[in-house]
Amino acid sequence: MRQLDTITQKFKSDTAVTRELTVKGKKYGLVIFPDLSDTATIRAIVVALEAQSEPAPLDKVKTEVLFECESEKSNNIDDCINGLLSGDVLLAAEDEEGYLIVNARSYSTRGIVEPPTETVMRGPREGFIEDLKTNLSLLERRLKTPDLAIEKMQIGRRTDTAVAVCYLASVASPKVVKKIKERLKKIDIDGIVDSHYLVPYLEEKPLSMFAQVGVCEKPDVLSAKLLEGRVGIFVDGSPIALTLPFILEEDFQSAEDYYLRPSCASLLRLLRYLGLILAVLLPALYVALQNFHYKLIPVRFMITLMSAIKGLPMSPLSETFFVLLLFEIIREASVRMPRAVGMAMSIVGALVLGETAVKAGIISSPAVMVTALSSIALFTVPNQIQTMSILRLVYTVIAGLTGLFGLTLAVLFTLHYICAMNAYNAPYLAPFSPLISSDFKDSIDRAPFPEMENRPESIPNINSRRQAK
Amino acid sequence: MNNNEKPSTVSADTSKEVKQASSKQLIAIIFILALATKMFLQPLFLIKSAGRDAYIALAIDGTFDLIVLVITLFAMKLSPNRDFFELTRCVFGKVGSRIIVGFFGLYLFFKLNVAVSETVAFYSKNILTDLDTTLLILILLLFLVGVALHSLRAMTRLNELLTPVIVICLVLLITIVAATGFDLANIFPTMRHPREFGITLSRHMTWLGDFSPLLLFLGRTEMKKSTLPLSVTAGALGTAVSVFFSIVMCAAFGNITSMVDASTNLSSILQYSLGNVYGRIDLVSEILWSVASFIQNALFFYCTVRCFEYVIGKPFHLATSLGVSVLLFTSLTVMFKDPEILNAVIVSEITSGLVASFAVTMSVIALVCALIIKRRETKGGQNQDKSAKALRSSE
Amino acid sequence: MKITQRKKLIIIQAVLFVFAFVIAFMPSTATRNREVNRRVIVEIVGIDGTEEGVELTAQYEMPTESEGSTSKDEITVKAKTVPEAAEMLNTSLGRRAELGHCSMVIMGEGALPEHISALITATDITADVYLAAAKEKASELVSKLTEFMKSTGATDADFIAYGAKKSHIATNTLLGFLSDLGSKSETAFAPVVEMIEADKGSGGSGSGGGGQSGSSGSESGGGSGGDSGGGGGDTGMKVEKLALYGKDGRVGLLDSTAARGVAWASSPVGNGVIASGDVTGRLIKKKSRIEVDGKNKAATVKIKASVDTHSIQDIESGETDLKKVFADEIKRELESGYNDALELGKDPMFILREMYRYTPDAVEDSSISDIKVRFSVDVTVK
Repeated sequence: MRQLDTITQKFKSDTAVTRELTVKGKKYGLVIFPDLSDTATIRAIVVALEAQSEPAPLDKVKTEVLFECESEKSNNIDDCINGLLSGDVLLAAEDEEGYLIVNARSYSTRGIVEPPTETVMRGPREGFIEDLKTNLSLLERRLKTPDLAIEKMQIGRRTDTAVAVCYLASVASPKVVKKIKERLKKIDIDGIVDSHYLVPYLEEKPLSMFAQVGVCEKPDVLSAKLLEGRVGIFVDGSPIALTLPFILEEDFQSAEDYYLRPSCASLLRLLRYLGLILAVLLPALYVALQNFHYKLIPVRFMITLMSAIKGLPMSPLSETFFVLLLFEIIREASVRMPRAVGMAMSIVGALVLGETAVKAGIISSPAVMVTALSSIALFTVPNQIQTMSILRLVYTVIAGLTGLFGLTLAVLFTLHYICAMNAYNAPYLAPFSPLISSDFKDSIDRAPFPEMENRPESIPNINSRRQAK
Repeated sequence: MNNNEKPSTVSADTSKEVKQASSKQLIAIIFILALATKMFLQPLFLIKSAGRDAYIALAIDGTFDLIVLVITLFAMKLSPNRDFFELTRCVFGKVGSRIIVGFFGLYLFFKLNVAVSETVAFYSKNILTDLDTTLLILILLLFLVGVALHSLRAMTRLNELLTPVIVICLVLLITIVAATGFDLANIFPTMRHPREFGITLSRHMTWLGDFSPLLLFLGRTEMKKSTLPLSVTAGALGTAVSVFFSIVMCAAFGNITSMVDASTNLSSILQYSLGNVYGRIDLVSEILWSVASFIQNALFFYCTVRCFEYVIGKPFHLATSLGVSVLLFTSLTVMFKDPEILNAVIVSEITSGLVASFAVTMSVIALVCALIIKRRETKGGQNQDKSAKALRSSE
Repeated sequence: MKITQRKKLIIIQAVLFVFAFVIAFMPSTATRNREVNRRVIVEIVGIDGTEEGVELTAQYEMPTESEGSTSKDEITVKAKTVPEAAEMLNTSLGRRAELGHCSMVIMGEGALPEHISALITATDITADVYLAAAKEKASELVSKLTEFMKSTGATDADFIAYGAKKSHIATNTLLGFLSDLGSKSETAFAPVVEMIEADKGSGGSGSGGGGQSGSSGSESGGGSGGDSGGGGGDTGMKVEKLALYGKDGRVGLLDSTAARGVAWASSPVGNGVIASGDVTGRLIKKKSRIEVDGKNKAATVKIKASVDTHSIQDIESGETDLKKVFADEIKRELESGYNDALELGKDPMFILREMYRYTPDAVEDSSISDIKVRFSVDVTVK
């Protein structure tokens, strides 16, 4: 059949399969991509065609024969091929131009499980998966409103990946939505494999070490974010949805905070803030105090410290830097290792290496303790581990070379740098700077829901009221 | 609601021109400017010359500065949309404006020299005695350049973020000083030598003009009804805090002015009252609090860079800030390498006179320009009304 | 060539890297001499004035070979000036002496106020350090204190805690000392630290810090030396007397009664025990004020004290009586303090300073002997 040949010629290999069938004298042709299509649907199409009392043209087939299937008639070969590559079946008829693209997409996906990065003790355990359709359905099930806008587009010259931009039309700022869509449309890349590919295109400072796009893997979290006026972006093939605009405070909020008692959640948040400050500054302070400011160390502790570091070959800075680096290596290795080996890794790293190094007098136990404490504290804010690990190393070096003077300036500069970040008109350090007092209800403190009458002001929105008075 | 900073609700989407600083941020920065330098080393110089009357000198200085602040704030109120550069350009023309801004830049540059040298001296004398002063200057300059690359908005936000920390430190210091029963009566008798006091006062005007960088906030700050009174209150409060600490210092060192140089200024006051009870909490608090002076340095640097950029006529942030930092480094390490020379320059009557007159003149220029422009605009408006009326009647 | 954002960032990063590299290898940053484990912590400094100049004795602490333990020792250096002596400490100890953690400075008999001034300006010693005086040589007292601390495990912190308690002895800091001396009174004081020597052969039964010495059982024992073991060593510290200083150095000592009198007039002191005959009381609260009358060159030292009695016996003896007994005792001590100091030509209650503060012209050229001083004591018994 001519139409079938037109399609198969486009393919370099025999991945597309063609079948012809004759129904009461009329010839129909099918082009199938067996790897991506559902056999039951194909069978159902064939059965439906054969059951016709009179052979119908493609338009009639669409409305009368295959009425329960999602289908579309097209004369555009490229559209047809794109559909075929997504698992659709192309139906052609003798003496008729064009094809009927029937949705028969089916490829195996994994089940909906709790994402490993956002585990909760209490609360929903659903997580997004790699299938866009499933992810959208998960979201739609939570936001049952016609207000939920889902705008789809294809990105990637070769991958032609489906990207869905979701937002609540009456809440999200149209300016933000427009800006995001414009940025996405401008992307001209050969392929998008994961949602993270989009991140640099959406950020205002792609070279910055601070993340400017939020990520989430849970429909409950995404729904809550959309309700606050953010925009979500799904990429087919990625279980991670992107959210915009993003402010630093989001990393200190966990889904579970909203399912716990407000007082408990507030305490946890406070701990996260303190943990992060401790994690980033503790090694630096330790080195600075040892190198320059021993007046600040209480005399008894100073004596303990002096006996602990007596005879070490390395200077306080190089020692602490070495231990920090060692920790980073162990962490990286244990993340990449298969789980079974990972356990052994930790033992070797923590016990053997740490303990023996201290005993051998290469490093001191206070340095190991400081690094361990700092690293544990770092894990209280998982999304910030990468950034803060770098900052911790930088601060340690600065503090070791220039004491609290340099450290204070370095911290000030970092704060100044993030104060300057204002992507999508959302101040990165809000609600602390600029001070937005109403947003403190959901920052260090987590107020009960009845008190959170308004949406956060730090995220641009066009409907500030969240609940009736 | 603060439309300028909080980018929310409907107003954000139909947003007006976005200002660089909100009213709240202006108030916070005024508070920091009022106390940053005054609390650091000025009392030391003053105590050396005025003895236990130094706090009176500081209070007079502070009042003078507050007057300058009020003038600047009025200029801000009158010119809510035009910045300092635009104001001077409209009134004095392009060349005249550049000359004025150039002089303003030079004045700020001198103030920057004083501010940076004071900050570095504080650290090198008290906290990092082992490190080379040149190194400290270099590191501070690196920070200043980094700050100057960003906008005024980032600076005001940083200040807003840190003001609570600084206030907490101040409250802590004040509580400690008050709770430990410091003998404030040591500041008496006052004004035993009025003549010498007068001379001292006239030679310490270099520290005036702490509010001069606010001229760069002209037209870039959101001005509400309450902004002016609250800003003046913040300035007065900051001055009062610095006067309070200088009173404490005068009480501690009034009898032994010779000790001032060697001592750790504010730290010593607390040591005097604290004994070893709290360990070195004062030092920790001081380091945190010294952030105020870093912010002030940064603001002076930022303003100097922007003034020079205006004179050059091109907004090359990186190049200009590098240029200014090289100049600053040279002046601090070559010209003023010996702190005695800097001190001599600072306390000379000529410098004092120049700085004081600049501090006042610049604010007055801003106010006059704002007034002229306002008048022109009002007149222009009236003329338009008149012509519109005439048009209607002819119809 | 157009400089893109990325290129600019690379340039900045390279500059920063070079900068960090240069800083890291600058002599002042690369040196390891300032590191904490290259130091010895000096805890007590003793100053003695000698004919050649000054003698500095430092009690220091440094970690020993076995982990966690430290050794305490003292060292004496002689030099012409204090800065020179401080420098010599470094060379004699073989490590940099860390004076920032020094918590007590002891002035020997011949030490001069300018030594204190030089010590603050030339070293890391902070002005808040407690000042004490030795009856004779500071070096001897420091070595006795070192022995005592070694044998009992007492630390300098014990003494400081005692000073900070504001108990019934007037303490002073270095800055306070210099400030007092610079005032119109031109007088400064420092409490005298003495060691209690145990009776020979009496073993480890120390006197508990001299708590019951004198007619007024002062609470002046810093550390108690109950477990000093056998032998005739020192069993504790006592702080009862005050050393008075003028601009030229020490002018004399005030005995325990007079020292307590000075403490009554000194506002920070708020605790202590008052004893007169059979009755004793504990001071709960005290306010002292000096009222001056510049015209008549007269001053009144007013003390308001709240006292808690110790025993039922005391209460039975009648409240009015008790008030009078305590008031008389306080007055006696005040007068003793004032008169003893007056004999030395000094004004440790700072009456002249107070008068100068409010009526400077009246006392511009006066001395303490020109002032008529009265004492008024008001006691409340609880």
